[in-house]
Parts: sequence; structure tokens; C-alpha cells
Amino acid sequence: MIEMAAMFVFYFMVAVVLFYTFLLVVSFVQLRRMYELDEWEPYEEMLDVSYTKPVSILVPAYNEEAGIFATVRSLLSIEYPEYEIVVINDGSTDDTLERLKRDFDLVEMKRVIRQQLPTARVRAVYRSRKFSHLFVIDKENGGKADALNAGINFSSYPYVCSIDGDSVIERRAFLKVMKPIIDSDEEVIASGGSVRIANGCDIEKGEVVRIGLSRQPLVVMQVIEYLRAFLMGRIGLSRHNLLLIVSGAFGVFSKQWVIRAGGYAHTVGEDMELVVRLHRLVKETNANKKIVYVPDPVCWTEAPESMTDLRKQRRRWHRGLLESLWLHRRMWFNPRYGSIGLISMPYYLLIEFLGPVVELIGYILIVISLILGDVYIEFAILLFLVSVLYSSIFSMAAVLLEEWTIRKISNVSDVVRLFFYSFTETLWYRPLTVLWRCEGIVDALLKRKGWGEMKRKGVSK
Amino acid sequence: MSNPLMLFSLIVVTLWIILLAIFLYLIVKKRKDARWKKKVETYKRLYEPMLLRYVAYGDEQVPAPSSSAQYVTMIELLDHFIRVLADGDVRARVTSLAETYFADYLHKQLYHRRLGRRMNALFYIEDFGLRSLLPELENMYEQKRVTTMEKRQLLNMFALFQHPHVYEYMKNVDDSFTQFDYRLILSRMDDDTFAKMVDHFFDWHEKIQYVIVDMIGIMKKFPHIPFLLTLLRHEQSEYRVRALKALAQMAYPLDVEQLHIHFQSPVWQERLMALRLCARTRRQEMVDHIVLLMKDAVFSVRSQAAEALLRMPNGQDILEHIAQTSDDRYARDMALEWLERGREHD
Repeated sequence: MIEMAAMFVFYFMVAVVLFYTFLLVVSFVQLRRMYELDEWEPYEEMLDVSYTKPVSILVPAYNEEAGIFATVRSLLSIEYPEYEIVVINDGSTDDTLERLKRDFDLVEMKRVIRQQLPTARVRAVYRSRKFSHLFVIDKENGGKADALNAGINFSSYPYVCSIDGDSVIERRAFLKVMKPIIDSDEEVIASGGSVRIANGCDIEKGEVVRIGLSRQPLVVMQVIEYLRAFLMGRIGLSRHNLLLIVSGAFGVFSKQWVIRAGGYAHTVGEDMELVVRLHRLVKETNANKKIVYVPDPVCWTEAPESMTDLRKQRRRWHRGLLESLWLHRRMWFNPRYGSIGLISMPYYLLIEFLGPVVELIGYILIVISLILGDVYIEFAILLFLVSVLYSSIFSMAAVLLEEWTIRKISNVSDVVRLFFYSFTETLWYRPLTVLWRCEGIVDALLKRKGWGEMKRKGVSK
Repeated sequence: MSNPLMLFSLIVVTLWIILLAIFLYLIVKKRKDARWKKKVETYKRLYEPMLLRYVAYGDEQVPAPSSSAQYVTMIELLDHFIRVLADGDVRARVTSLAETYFADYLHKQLYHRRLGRRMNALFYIEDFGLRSLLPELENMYEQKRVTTMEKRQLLNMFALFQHPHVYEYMKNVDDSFTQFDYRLILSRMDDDTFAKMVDHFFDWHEKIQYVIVDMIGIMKKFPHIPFLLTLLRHEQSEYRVRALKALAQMAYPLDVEQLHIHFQSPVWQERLMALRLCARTRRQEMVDHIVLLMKDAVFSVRSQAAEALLRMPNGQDILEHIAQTSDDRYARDMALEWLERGREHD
């Protein structure tokens, strides 16, 4: 019995490792080609208004009084020829709206809002007297998706971008993310940027002035995790138009397509949900459209620093993944949806979603084998080694991939720390996140609701 | 321990050692690069005043660069100057210095195995206006392994350097070129080459045709207005819409009868663009027609109509009147919104 389970876990992990290796190689080749390319020249032409498409930046805010000022500040100084910022106060119970009113000198305005997507009632719309391209919508609470939909209704530009209340955007983020859309004559309908963790970096007036690394082991591990997810996973998937996630923290979408797809849905992982629906719509209408991912880090977000917050976040993420996958179960292994149905969906289902379950079984088997001792010790060693391969080795590779290609981390000592922390992943961090993700599955099965929002302290000085 | 397990352990340990080796290599490289960067920074402080005097007044002797750090320093500095001091004399001096000192260096970079390096060289050649490298660029363009990214940039440069065959090159590009690519190419052409493009308008495929029309508007090429006027009578609505848009960008006062035809078009984009033209030219005699379009079924058309009215000399009164008396709720709402926008502007 134990032998069979152990062999199953082993072969599953080896198969996944092979798939990861494929993604790693694709990413490496992609990134290396563009290595040392000038940071500015490719984007210079985009500063001309007549060539670029304007963007509406949506900032949903629910009790974000600590971080909202920094977020909006960073958005006001971005380098992009034409854009508007729409903050949506989703019935906050703290002083978010008051803070905005005070900091940006808001006045109420009249505006005809096209109800293209149904939302909770909008109480009032404000514009800033200081910045003519800053607007604030005050609405009744309806959740993040509802807030984003209200923002879409109000927005006046053909592209929308959603940004989490507490993230900081690089000044050239929009040039970078919009480039594939403009370059392709709008064949690309959604484009996501790489997200990095802001904890440990120096942020002043909404701009990252020094990239650093937090002293907190939990944060360091998350930095590694983000590198792994963005650099390895998404580049490889994007290359073959298989990407199912445009990060919740940073993505630009064609408004027309979002509306056709029915806007954001009220699920936990609304970003993934939308991307899946866009893919679905593209396949069902036989349109020649793409969803891409830009490897340059363009958005910095605050990571949870305590075990409790991290656990809540991971449970929520995994529940969201399950909800999205379940909602679109018709696409699983369905040749009608082409590569999305046959590769992406199974990948997210088997590796991203079920992977943690198999891993957890693996960890339990290791413990049982150690207790039983004798011949079972070999199983324990085997499973431990494959877990090392599955988590630590690939995380180390992701850190090296960053250093070999993008090179955003300036300090040698930070790279050293990242590398050695990633080596310890299998021993503590991985089992913890695996456990939390499995808890998320239980939550979903028991239909536990609730947002599990983390308490933010704000990343900016 | 059993054999398969030994083998597997060996694989994991080997991988670990390989990663460790790569790690050590990258760390050493990072330290080296940091030193190199520091060197470039030092050179920059050293060269900056001298190069600035040279590009601004031309009365300075600039010593030839001898190391790769010096090349990079000087190229980056000059590229920076050319961006901030976009003056004809500055350009000429930068070009002449680049021709003497960097032409060979950049030429070599064009054959670098990494795309990033080759692209950077192309960008610098364009920025410095190094026409002498044109034969090399032609060679590069003809090569089989040239990527689309390089091809785009090369065509941009052929257009900028007024290459005699740019027209033929454009005839032979593949489908992967987008309208955005063509816009960049056309934006760099001189008036004669551009005129040639317009003359042969109907020989091009649609993608380029649309770009030609757009660029007449964006670059305000007034001599081509008569051509746009002929397009207004074309049976395909896309031509009419784009021509109207270009005319609006140049604020060309179209006559009333012609505008009236477009106002009644079944294609809403055409009505929208005709309204945009009215907004730009403030044709008082069109007011009654525009007021009718305040009740249009399409939101953007109503919105554009309101904007056109607001821009009229007595625009506020007209909108006020609509807001109070119109029998159409959407028209009233839209009038109110634009009245408010008008106030915001004041």
C-alpha cells in the first residue's frame, strides 16, 4: 500500500519536473535573447500620443486608507502619453474616501455612466481639482469584482488595467505592458506584467528607489516563489498562448473584450477567472487574439509578513483556483478549446491545483516511512529527494534565471541570500504552503466564504 | 541502498552541484560587472564636460576611445545629448564624431550573437544617423536569419536614411508587419517618398493604405488633402472613416453638403468622425444637424455631438437648451455631462 502510494507520488513529481524543465528552457531562451537590450529605446516611439492607445487605470479600494495615497501617487507620475486613474471606493468602512478627498482635493461631478456591466449602486463620482485625470467613484460595497466592473462602466478609454490598492507601479510599466498590444495592432487583448515583492525595498513618493531584500525569512521565500511563478511559469506558458493568469496585481485588458466576456466575476480569483473567460470567448468566436505576459518587473506589491496572513492568502488563492477551474470544467481536456482545453486547463488542474495534494501525501508518507523504519526508509529518502528536486532545485534555478537574464537585484549579498534560502525551501516553507493550499481546497468543499483580507501597513515611506 | 535510489540521488546531487557552479559563476560575473559599471561611471564624469562642449560648440578635441568601457561611455553620453539637445548643429556634430569613432565598433556589434546587442547597435546607428553603414544594413536585411524585430528596425532606418529602394523593400515584407510598424516607417519618410506612397495608394494592400491615410492626418501633410477628399466618396466605409479622421486632425473645413452626407451615414463611426471634424472646425451652420445627432442611438456619437456643440461660440446655451427641453432622456443626460465638463475646463 505504502509502496504503491510512494511510487505514485514519485512518478507524478517526476512528470511535473519534466514539464517544469520544459518551461524553464523556454523561458531561458526567451529571456537570454533580449539580454542587455536597451531599457529605453524600444519604448521611445510609444510616447507619441497618436500611436498609443489610452488606458484607464482602475484602483479598487476597500479599507485601504494606509496604502491608497502611495498607490495613487505612484500612478500620477507614470510615463504614458494618455491615461486616467479611476479609484473605486467599494463602500469602505474606514477613512479611505475621506483621505482621498483631502489628499487630492476632490469635488463631486456629474457624469453619464454607461451601465455596460451591472454593479452595486454608485453613490457619487468625484474628480480631482489637482489632477485632471484622476477620478474617484464612491459606491456601495459589492466586492472587488463589482468595484472593477463599476470602474469599467465609468472609464472612457479602450484599455483598462486593474491595480491592487497597495501596489507600486514602475514609471514605465504601462509602456512595457502596452507594447505587445500596440505592436500587434491589438491582436493581443490582454497583457500582464511581472510582479515583485516590495517588502525590503525603499519606496519614496510612490517609486521604488532601491531594490532590497527583506530580513524576514518568510518574505524572502515569497520573493523566490514570485520569481519562480513569473519568470519560469508564465513566460513559458505565454510563449505558446497558454497563459491562464494575468496577475491580479498588474494586467491590461481590452475593455471591449472584457465587456463581451461579461466583466469581472464574483469569484475569489477574479483575475484568473477573467482570463479563462477571455480565452474561452476567443476560442468560441474563432477570433485571432492573444494573451501575453511581459517578463520585466513592473509592479511591486506588499507581501504578508506573518504566518497568519500568508496562510489566509494562500487558502484564498487556492480556493479561487478551484472555483475558476470548476466553473470552466467544460473546457477540461476538451479539444474544442484547442491548446487551452488540452494543455493549459490540465496543467492548472493537475499541477497547480492537485500538485499540493500529491505533495502533501508525499510529506505524510515520508513521516510514516520514517516511523515504520526498516525497508521503508528507502521510500522516505526517495520521496525526500524528489521533493527537493520539485521545490528547492527549481527555486534555485529560478533565482539563477533572474540573475542570468533580468538582473534586477543589485546587491551581491541579496542574490547569495536568495540562493541559499531557496535551497531550504523543501525543509520548511514548501510543506507549510502545501498544507495551507490543501486547507483552501477544504474551505471550498465546505463552501466557507470570507475574504481573509490581510491587514496592510503600507509599503511607502 | 538499492541501485535505482542511488542513481536518483546521484542525479539530484549532480543537479545541485551544477546549480552551485552556475551560482558561483554568476556571482563572480556580477562582481566583475559591478566593477565595469563603476569604471563606465567614472569615465562618464570625466568625458561629460568635454563631450558636451564638443556637441554644443564644436571647439573641443575629443580623444578616440580605446577600451570597450570608453566606447560604451561615449556612445551612451552622446545618445543622451542627442535626446535632450535636439538641434540641427548638435546632430551634425554627433554624426560626424560617431562616423569617425564608432562606425567600426557598431558595425561589429551588428554581428553579435545576441539579439539584444544587435538591436542596441541598430538603435544607436539610427540615433546617430550613421548613413555610411547603409550597405551593412542592406546586407543584414538580406540575411536569412534576420529576426522580425531587426527587420522592422532596419526598414525604419531605410526610411529615415531615404534609401532609394525603401519602396521596393516595403512591397516584399511579410504579413507579420502590423499597422504600427508601418506607421513608424512612414513617419520617417521624407515628403517625396511619402508622396510616392500616396500616388500608388491603390497598389498597396489594405493595412498600408489605412496607415497612409492615418499618417497624412497625424503628420499634418496638407498637400495630400485633395487625395483625402477623393477618398470621402469611396464606397468602402473604412476609407471614408479614416479620411474624415485625418481631415479632423488637420481641422479642414469641409463644406456643409459633404458633412451632411456623412452625418446620415448608416456607419456610426462615420457619423462620429464627421462630428469630430465639426468640433475641430466650429461650423456654426451645422448646429441644427448636430443637435439631431444628440439623439443618436450610439453613445459615443451622442457624446461627440455634445462636445461639438460645446465648442461652438454659443455652445453652452445650446446644451443648456437641450438639457432643459429635449424629449430624449439620453440627449438631456449627455448635454448635462458636457455642460459640466465645460465648467471643469473653465
